[in-house]
Amino acid sequence: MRTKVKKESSEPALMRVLDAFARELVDVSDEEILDAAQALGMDPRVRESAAYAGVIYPSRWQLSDFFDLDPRKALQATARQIAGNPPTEQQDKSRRSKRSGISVEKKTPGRK
Amino acid sequence: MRPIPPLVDKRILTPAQTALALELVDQMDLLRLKSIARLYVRGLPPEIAWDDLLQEALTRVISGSRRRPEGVTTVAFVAGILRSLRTEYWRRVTRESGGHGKLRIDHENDESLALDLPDPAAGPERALSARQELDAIKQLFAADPVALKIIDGLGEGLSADQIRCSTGLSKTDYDSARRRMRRILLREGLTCEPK
Repeated sequence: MRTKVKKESSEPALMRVLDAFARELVDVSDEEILDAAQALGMDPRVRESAAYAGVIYPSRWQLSDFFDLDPRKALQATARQIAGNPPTEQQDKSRRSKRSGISVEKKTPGRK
Repeated sequence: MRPIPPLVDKRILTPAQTALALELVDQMDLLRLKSIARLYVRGLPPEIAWDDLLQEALTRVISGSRRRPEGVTTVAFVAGILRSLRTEYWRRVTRESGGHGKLRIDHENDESLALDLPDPAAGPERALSARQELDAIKQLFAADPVALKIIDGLGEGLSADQIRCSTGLSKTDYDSARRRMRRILLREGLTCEPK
């Protein structure tokens, strides 16, 4: 009778390797970190070092890290403006007269 | 011309900066944790970034949702959280997808008593991803046959002594191989690449 050998999934093996490596890195000395960083051209003694990308500062800079791009604020400001200062009748009239003025000019093709 | 949006004037600290300010960790600890986070993100889908994993783990420490047991260093403690975040992610994915394989225990008459037991073993997709990650890890040590033997031993769950016995390595050779491996792991861990 043949004995069936079931091969173990790679996931437990990967976890065991990752756990062993993580244990190794938990106890790694400062000197070893500095050596590895130096090999990569980094100086971890400086806070702005590339070694801290993704840790102290973002690894992927976005426009919103520099500019206030929250669209809700712009919408809220517009809504506040409308709620606080509804357009007066005079403003409405002037808008209408502007529009009518343009339309009148278009109707007279001979004018320059 | 479109107006230039106003510059951001409010400063939001990252959990790592907060942990640093609270002196829960020092700068070197953060680099240790960065390397460990980059390690534990291996085998996770690309939308899970190592920095998100790290900041989440530190948030749990700062918020107090995880308490550090006495005698455990902060780095070891956060490393444990990183590991459990990884496990938590897979558990959630398995639960949301309803499990890749289910064992249904039917009750003859009452359908409400029927029970679906999800198979806790990794699905084929996850197993393949793990296989690829193991290969990628071995690729890092491709030039070091002793390190590759050690990785095989670690994958099988062998202890340091058992690996030494099975490979015939002396203690000195084994220790120097582990030192070389640490150096490569650190270089890989400190790099700025997204994943």
